[in-house]
Amino acid sequence: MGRPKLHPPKLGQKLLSFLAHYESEYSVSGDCGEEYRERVQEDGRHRALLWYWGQVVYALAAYSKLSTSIGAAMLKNYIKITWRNIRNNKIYSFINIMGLAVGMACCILILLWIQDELSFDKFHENYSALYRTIPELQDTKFSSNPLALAAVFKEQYPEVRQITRFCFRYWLMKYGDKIYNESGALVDDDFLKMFTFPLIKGTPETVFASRESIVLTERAAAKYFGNQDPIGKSLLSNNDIELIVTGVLKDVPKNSHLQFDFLASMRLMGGRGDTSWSYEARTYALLEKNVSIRDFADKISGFIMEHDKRTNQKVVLHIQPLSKVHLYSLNGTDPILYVYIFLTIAIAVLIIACINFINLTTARSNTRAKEIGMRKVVGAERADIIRQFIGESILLSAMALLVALGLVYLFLPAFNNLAEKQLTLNIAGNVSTLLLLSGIILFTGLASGSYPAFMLSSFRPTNILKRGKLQSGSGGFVLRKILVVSQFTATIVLIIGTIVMYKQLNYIRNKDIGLDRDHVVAISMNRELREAYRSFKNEIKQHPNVINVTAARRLPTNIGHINPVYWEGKGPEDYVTMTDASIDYDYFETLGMQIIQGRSFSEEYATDPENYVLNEEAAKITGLESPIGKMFSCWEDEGIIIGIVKNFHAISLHNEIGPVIFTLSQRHGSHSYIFVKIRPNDISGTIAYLDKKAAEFAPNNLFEYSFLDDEFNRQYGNDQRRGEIYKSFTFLAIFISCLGLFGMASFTAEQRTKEIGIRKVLGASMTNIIALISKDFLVLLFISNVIAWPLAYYFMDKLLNNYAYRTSITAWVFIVSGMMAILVALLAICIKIVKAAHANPVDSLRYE
Amino acid sequence: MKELTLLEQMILAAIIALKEGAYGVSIRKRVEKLTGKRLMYGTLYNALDQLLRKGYVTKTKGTTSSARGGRPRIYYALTSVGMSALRVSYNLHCAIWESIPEFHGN
Repeated sequence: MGRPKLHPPKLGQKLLSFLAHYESEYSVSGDCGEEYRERVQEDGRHRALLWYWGQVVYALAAYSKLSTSIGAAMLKNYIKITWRNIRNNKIYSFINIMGLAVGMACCILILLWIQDELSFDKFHENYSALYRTIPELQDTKFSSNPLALAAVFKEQYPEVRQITRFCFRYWLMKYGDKIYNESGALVDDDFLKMFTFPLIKGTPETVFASRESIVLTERAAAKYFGNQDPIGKSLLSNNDIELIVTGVLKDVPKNSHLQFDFLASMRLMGGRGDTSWSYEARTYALLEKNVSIRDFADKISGFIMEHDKRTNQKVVLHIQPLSKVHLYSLNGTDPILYVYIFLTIAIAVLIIACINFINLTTARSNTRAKEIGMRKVVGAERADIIRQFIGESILLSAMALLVALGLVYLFLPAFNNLAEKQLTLNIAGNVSTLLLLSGIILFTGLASGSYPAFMLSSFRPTNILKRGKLQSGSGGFVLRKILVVSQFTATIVLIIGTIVMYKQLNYIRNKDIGLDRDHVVAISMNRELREAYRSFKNEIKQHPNVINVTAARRLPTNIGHINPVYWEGKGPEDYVTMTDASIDYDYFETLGMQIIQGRSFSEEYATDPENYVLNEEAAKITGLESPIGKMFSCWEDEGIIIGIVKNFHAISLHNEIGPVIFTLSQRHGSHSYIFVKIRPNDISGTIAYLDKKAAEFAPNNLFEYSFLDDEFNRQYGNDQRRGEIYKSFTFLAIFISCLGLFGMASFTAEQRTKEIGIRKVLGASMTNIIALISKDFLVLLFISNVIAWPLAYYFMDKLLNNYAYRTSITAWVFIVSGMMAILVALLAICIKIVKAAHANPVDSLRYE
Repeated sequence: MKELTLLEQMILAAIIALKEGAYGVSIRKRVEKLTGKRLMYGTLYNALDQLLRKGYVTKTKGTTSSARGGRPRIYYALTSVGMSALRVSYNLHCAIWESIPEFHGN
C-alpha cells in the first residue's frame, strides 16, 4: 500500500463550499478537512471517508434548514401538494408517469439509434477531407472504380494529397492446422495513413513495405496465433501465396462502413492492377484542406472518359464525402430517410404520451379547483399558479425519466438484438446524453404542463369557491376531444404503416423472381476444389438427393461486372454496358431459370464457351428482332447469342431488373461457388454428404455453404430490421394511447356515477350504459380514422415508391387498422365502464 | 434576554477553556468529549453562527495550512456580552441544584 491519501474527497469539498454563502470563511470545509486527515491516520481511510461524508450531508442539511425563506417554504408546499396528488390518485398518476416513461424510453432508444447512425466513420481524423470517387454509367452509380484510375488521378490533380484503392477479398487463410475464411481487402500503401485504423503493432509507413505483407486485426490474429506474437509469422492465403504478418490492427469499429479483417498490399494483384480499366476497386482520396469541392467535382467529371481510351462510353465521375457514405445510397433510397422516419416516430410517441398528461390534468381540473381558488384568495398571482403547475409537470416528467431509464436498461439488449447494433446508455460520462435527457424532461414538462397551467390559472376564485366546482363543459372540453383525435390519428397512421411495411416485405419475399432459390446450396471453392470441380460435380450428381450441380464466379445476388458490349447492327456511337456474369454449364437448369428463346449452354457444342445467353432486358436493349444467332461481344470476346433467359431479379427489389449477359468464359477469374440443387428431404444428410465429398476431393478446403434463399433474404435484412423496430414502437404507441383513453374513460365513469345510478334505477341495461358512454369515444375514434386514412395513404405511397417493385395499398389495410385501433380502444374503455355499470345504484347514488 | 441552550453553554464554556486555541476542531472535540455524544460540524457551526449574530462571540482569522485545503482556522473568543450571558446560565444552574444537597459533591 502506498502513502494514504490525506486529501478529503473533492466533491465533498465543493459541496461544503456552497456554505460559504452563509459563513464566508469556509470554516466547516477547513475543519472537516483537518480532522479528516487525523482520522485517516487513526482509523483508516474508509472510516474517515464515512465520517467525512456524514459531516458533509449533515452540514448541508443543517444550513439549508437555517436558510429557509418564504420562497423555499412555498417550494416545499408545492412539492408536498404534488406528492399528495400523486399518492391520492394512484391510477391517474400511474397512467401519467407510465405513459410518459414509455414514451421517453422509446425516444431515448430511438435517439441512441440515430446517434449511432450519425456517428458512422466519424472516428477518422481526416473525416472531413476524405472522399471516394463514384463513376456513373447509364444513370447508375457504382462504388467500384477502374483499377488504373487511382494513380492517374493523383498525378493529374494536385488537390489530391493521398489516394488509395480498396478491393474486397474473401480469402481462405491457413496457419499450421488453422484454416479460416477471412474477408479483407487489398489496399494501397497510404491507406493506413489516410484512415484512422490504429495499428497496435507495426507502423503505417512500413507495414506494406514488401509485396507479400499482410496486416491482421486483433480478432483475426488471435484466431491464428493465440497469444504468440504474430509479427513475422507467415500465413498461406487462398492463391497459395505466403504472406508475412507485418502489423496488427485494432478491430474495426462497428460504425465504420469499411469492414475487414485483413489488409494486404495492392501490389499482389500484379501488373493488371495498375493498367486495367476494369471496374473493381473502391477508390478513396484525401483532399487538401482548402479545395473547393464544387470546382473540383466539375473538374473531374470527365476524367474516366478522358483516360479510358478503349471506349467512347459516357461515364461521369463524381466525388462523395465520407460523411455521406453511410446515410446516402448511390442509387435509390437514402438511408437517412429512415433516420427522419424514426425521429418522427420518437417525437410522435412522446407527444402521444404528453397528450395523455394534458387530457388527464385538464379533465381532472375540478379536483384541483378548490386548491387554486384558495391559493388565489390567499394572494397567489396567476404567474405563481402557472409556475406551480409547470413545475409539477416537470417534476412528474423527471420521475417518468427515472422509470424510462430503468426501462431502457431493461430493453436495451433486446433493442440491440433487433437493430443489430451495440448501443450503450452511458449517462454519467456523456455530456451530450445528459443534455439530451434534461432536454427530454424540459420538453415533456413544458409540452404537457403548459396548457393545464394556463387553463387552471385562469379560474376565477369567486366562481370556484362559491360553487365548489367548475362549470361542467368548461376547462378545455373541445381541446380534449381534438387532442384525443390527434392522438389516435397518429396511432392509426402508425398501425397502417406497420401493416403496409409488412405487406411489402412479404411481397418481396414471395415474388416470383424468375429463378428458383429454394433448396439451392451455395458452396465456396478454394483452388484445390476448383481444380477437382469436374470430377466432384460428376461424383455428387450420383447422389439421389442431388438434383443438379453448377458453378459460377459470383452469387446471383451480385451476379457480375459491368462491361461494355457490342452486337451485330449496333450503331457505333451508342455505347452500352451490361452486367457480365460468368457461369458454368447447367446454371439455368439448376437455378430454375426459364429459357424463352433459343437454348441453354451445352457441352455438346464445342463453341459454346464463346457464346452468349442474354436476359430479356438485355435482348430488349439490343433491339434485335431475332437475336438468336446474331453476333455479340463483350470486350473483344466475340461470339453469338444462343438463347434468351426470362428476366429475373438478381439484386434486391429496391432496384429494377438490369440487362445481364451470361458466358462460360472466365474473363474475370475462375468460378468460386458451386450451386447444388437438392431435394427437400433429408437436407442435413445431403449437406453432410457434400461436406464429406468435398473433403475427399479437396482436403484443404474449408467447407462453407449457405442457402441461396438466405442470401436473397439477406438483401432485405435492413428492411426487415426497420420493420421490426417500427412494429415495436407502433405497439408502444397503441399502448400509450389506450392508457390515456382508459384514464379518460375512468374519469368519465367517475363523473357520471350518479347518472349511471339513476339510469339503472329507471331500468337501463348494462348495454345501454356502455353504449351511452363509449358512444362519445367512438365518435372521436371514427373521426381519427377519417383523418388518418388519407394521411397514411400519402406517406406510405411515398415510402413504397422507393421500391422498384412494390405492393399495392389496398382498402383492407385501412379497415383492419381502423378496426384494430377501435377494438383495442373499446377494450380499454370497457374495462372501466363495465365496472361502473355493474355498480349497485344504491352505492353510486349515495356517494358524495 | 433568552436563555442559552445547553449546547450553547457547552460551546461557550469550551471556548473559554481553550483560550487561544478555540477553533472548530478543538471546540467540537472538547464538547464531544464532555457529553460523550457525537457532535456534527453542521450543528456546531449553526450554533456558533447564532452566537456570533447575537454578539456573544467574535472570530479572528488564524493561520492557513495545507491540511485545511488552504483555508484559515477561525478562532473564536467570548465577548463581554457572551460572558455575562454565560454567567446568567451558570447562576441559574447553581440555583437549581443549591437547594438539593443530595446532588452536591459526587
